[in-house]
Amino acid sequence: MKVLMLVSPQCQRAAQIASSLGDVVALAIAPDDTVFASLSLPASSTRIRLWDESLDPSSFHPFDVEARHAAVLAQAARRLGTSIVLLTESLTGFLSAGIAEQLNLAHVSEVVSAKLVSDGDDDPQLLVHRRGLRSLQVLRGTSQAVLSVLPSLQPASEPAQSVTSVTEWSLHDVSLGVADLPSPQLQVVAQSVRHHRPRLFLSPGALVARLRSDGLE
Amino acid sequence: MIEFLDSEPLCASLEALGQARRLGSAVGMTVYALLPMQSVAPQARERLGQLLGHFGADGVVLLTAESTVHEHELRFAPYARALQQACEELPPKLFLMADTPGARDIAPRLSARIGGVFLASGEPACEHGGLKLFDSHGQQVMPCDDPLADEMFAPTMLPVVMTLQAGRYALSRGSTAVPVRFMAPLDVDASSERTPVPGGGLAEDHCEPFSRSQRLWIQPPATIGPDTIPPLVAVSSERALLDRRSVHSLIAVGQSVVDRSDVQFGLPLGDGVTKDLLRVIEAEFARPKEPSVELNLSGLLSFHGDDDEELTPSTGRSWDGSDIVTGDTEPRLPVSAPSTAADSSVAHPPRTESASPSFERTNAGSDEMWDGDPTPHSVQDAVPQAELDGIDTEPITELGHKDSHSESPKAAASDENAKREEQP
Repeated sequence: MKVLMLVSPQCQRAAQIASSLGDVVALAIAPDDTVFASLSLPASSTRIRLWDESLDPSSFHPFDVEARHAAVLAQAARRLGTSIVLLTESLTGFLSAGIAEQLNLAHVSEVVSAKLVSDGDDDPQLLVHRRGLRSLQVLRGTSQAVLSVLPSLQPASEPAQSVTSVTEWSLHDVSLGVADLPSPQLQVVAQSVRHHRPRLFLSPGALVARLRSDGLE
Repeated sequence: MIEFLDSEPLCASLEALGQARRLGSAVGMTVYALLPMQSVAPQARERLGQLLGHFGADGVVLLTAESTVHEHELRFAPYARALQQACEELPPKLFLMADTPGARDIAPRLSARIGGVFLASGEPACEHGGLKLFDSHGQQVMPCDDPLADEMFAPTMLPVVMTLQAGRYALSRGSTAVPVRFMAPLDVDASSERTPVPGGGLAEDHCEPFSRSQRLWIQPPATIGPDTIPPLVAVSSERALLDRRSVHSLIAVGQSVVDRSDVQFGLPLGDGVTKDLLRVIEAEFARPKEPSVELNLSGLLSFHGDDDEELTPSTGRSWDGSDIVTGDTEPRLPVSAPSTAADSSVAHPPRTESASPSFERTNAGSDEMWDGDPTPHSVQDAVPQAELDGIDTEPITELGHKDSHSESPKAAASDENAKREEQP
């Protein structure tokens, strides 16, 4: 089974899960190959780097960037014939949901781990551990899903000596043109940045009471 | 969308509802509280109209799950069709959720489903009479006009789905029970690519323990391995590689927490006592949980209308003056103000003395920023009741400097009230 994994910072957990699920196709949307340097993947994995100037993160608001990346990754999954897509939770938080919506697949967020389990002659099923508010939710079902994996807390390992055999793709390779990408939906109207001070608590007791009211019993 | 746990709404969800109420009152929007029906006990459902009306809703919509099997954690799939149905019948301009694991599953997928914009940890505010949106970086953003809107009418803003960080907004206070309706998903064309996938074949198998020490890190574990699960809440530490993707709420401890904009909660204790924080926090959790706030709802108006009755924007509704304000620049009640407990419809349980050692309070920050037990004991009786429930945190443009909009909140409120009185 082919598993498409998006290469991004702190994606070691996603890489580990992907390796356990099947043949990994590691795809990066990046201008150069350095993103693969610190990634630990089986030697049999396929590495693909896709780039076009229209995907440059600095050109648009992060939401619009992720909407564009979602369109590209969904199309890449179609071309590769993968039914499981793994990626590390993004800061903007839209990417995995955007891919799932376009592929019409289930989307699971806050994924801690995943594996394939087989019951006799049936097709293997996907068993996903998801971080919940109060428990680790274990989901079971068909092996077709977009999994948004929690980032790894371990520092990235030392970069490898060299990265070899990275296939380069362009938008054309996934049958897309710049005009096919979603138009920007957000515009920044003011450059001033606004932050908030934290809510303060006089005592640990008050803080604990608040945490309890948010479900942290 | 309100998230429930053990039939009680999360405080963070009520804060989101409170901000929705303020925005609705300020710019003329109706506030619907959406509830996943399976997470609310049947005996509690009849009180929902009163409870959520009190906290700011104009109407309550119960979402019917597609599966009869109860899932213990909230996620998108079981409510996909009911959510879509709700968004078709009540097209939202803003869809707000508190930032929880459930919200991270629901909000972005719903945004993709309805073709809206998603802003994680965003901030909706009303300034100068208009709705303003800020992203997680604090930048003001504006959605483009909806290209599918009817050109005969004014351009329509794309729907915006946002998650809101816990602790940022005040609760709202109302006085009217509101109607409750059910939202059952319609049968849809299964051949459509936009057909909601009911779980895509994924359903809850079981739940495994997720201990409090795993969910709350006072100190990071001695060893962090590849399988270490990030906590939901953590005390901010330089060692941990924690950001908004891993952790929902960060807590800062120490003398200089007041101006930190990278955390949601602050505990300004002296440096000497922070070393003992783990023991103190554990001792507080070991204490029995105080009874939940019991609302005295007997004095509220009951709702006898037809559930399908069209709701109207609530700019004319009766709310506390402090609630008819504009988002996070809400006027704060002074700590020294006379007690308003007699006027409040919320009866708090009696507070008990903490067994934890008393900490010397730092003199950082204004009294208005404090939560919990905010004043020295000598003047505790004078604390406005609302302060115990939370007050908006203070927006700052740069560290250490107040936002210009928060310098004279009362003046801003009076301006808003004056504008509203001029409206028909």
